[in-house]
Amino acid sequence: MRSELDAARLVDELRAQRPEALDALLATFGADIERVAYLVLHSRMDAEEVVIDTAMTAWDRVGSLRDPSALRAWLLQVAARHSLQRVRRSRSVDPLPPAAPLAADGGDPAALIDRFSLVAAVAELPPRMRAAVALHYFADLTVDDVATALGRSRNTVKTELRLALERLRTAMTPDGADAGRSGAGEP
Amino acid sequence: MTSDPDFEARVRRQLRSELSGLTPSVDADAVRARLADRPSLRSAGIRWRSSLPAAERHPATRLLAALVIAGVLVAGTLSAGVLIGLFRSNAPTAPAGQAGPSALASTLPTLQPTPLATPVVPSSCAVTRPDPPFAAPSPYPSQPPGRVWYGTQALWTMLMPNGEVWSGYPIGPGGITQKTFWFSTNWPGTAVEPVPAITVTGTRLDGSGSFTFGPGTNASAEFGEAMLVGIEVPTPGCWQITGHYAGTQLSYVVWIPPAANLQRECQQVDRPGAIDCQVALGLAIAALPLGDHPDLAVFAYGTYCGTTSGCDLSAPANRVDFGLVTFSYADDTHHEYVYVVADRDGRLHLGGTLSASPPPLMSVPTPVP
Repeated sequence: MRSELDAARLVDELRAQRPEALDALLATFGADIERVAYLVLHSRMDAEEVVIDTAMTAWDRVGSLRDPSALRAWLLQVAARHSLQRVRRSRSVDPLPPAAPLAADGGDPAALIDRFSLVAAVAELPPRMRAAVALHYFADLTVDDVATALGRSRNTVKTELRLALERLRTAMTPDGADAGRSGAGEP
Repeated sequence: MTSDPDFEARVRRQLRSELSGLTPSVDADAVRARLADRPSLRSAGIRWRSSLPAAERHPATRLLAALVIAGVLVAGTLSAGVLIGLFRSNAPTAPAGQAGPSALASTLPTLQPTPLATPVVPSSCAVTRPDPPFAAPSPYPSQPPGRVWYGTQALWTMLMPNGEVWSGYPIGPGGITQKTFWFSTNWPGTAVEPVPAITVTGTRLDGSGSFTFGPGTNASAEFGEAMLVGIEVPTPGCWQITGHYAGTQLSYVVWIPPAANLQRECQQVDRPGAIDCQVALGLAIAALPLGDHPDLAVFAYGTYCGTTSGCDLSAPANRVDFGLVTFSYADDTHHEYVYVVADRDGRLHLGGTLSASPPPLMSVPTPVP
């Protein structure tokens, strides 16, 4: 109840465009927004940009949010959309290679390790699938909320989540990491 | 494939664990800085385009417009964009009279600045606060929207009423990028002097550093034309900015707070000789006493890979920082920033962790059965 009251108050302050509302917004939801964005983008810098983009969208459009208690889900939906937009925009740019997963191996600094990281495995999924995983499995949004965020039907999202789990399971299985990662494609 | 609640739960748990160390790093000031400018920028671009006669919307003009607007929107962090957005660059082929003073003065922008917090200015930096502001001659408005005039008829500019603070600006090759706008009754205008012979110099007041940029180009808003000089300020700090035009100088002091995002803009590719982030990060991790338990997992959010010291390429060596690296050992997870040192030639040297003391995990020297 308290959190709902807090959300309602925050929504009111955002609607009134009180600058200090942004502090509360980021303090409350900034971490989740950044983590969802990171799961989609696999770039801390880009994830931070998404946090800013999301806060700006909230500033502009929180009036369209009818149920203040849905603020978190709405913000994360917005973050997912911003993340996917950023993925699309970045396709013409050569990104730095992701540095994960890495580890030392017998002191050889250049050696990559084969230790497993789930976040790294998620990074190998197609972008929209990453967004679905981030929203559903990390942020606990419902399938319906994920579908709204991604502009897809509920059944499509369920299918994508199922396929994502299959890929992650393959990647998390010993000796299956390579197959799981090399098989990931970009739609 | 059937549902597997156990596996789903594992995915949820592990995602949260691995991401737990990715702490929020964006503060509201960054958002406010962008919000402060954006409405003016966007609407100014729209107004400009819609004001152009159809016959004048030839490709070159459209390209120029696109460049201006794209630059404005892409560089959304330009907090001085409140000003920038009110202006447009004038193509030499702009129709005569389009930027005529009387026509421009009749449609003053109505946008109001958002009342936003600004970074704290140290008392040692006496930023210029125009008091009283300069009253610009006709056809300019008595004061520009959201700003105040500063100077004399021979040379004036626009400043923030409570002191010029430049924060959240994009970082260019030469430093923090900014556009400065200047006005003078001695300037005959775009039609006669489209490339004004104006220069802008900067001198750091709380340290060493200087710059000179010029000549200018031209810009116009709905209320008049301006001489525009793009500058790059090498470092944050307290700076005196001086415009020089037609034998007149005008100076003001600006505070540029150390930007949290300054470092991240300085990528490793700025170092002489490419630094291989993968190798560098591996080197940094190898320097840590991690132990080698079979359950040890290392995951690097290695996206920063940026040099410190503001990419001071003249320094003998820079630290190359990395983003968060997560070390997990069974159910125990720790997060660290790691670094290496790159010398002037791009050679990498062993670094370590930025923590004062290694977390317990890293103190485990030998495998645990």
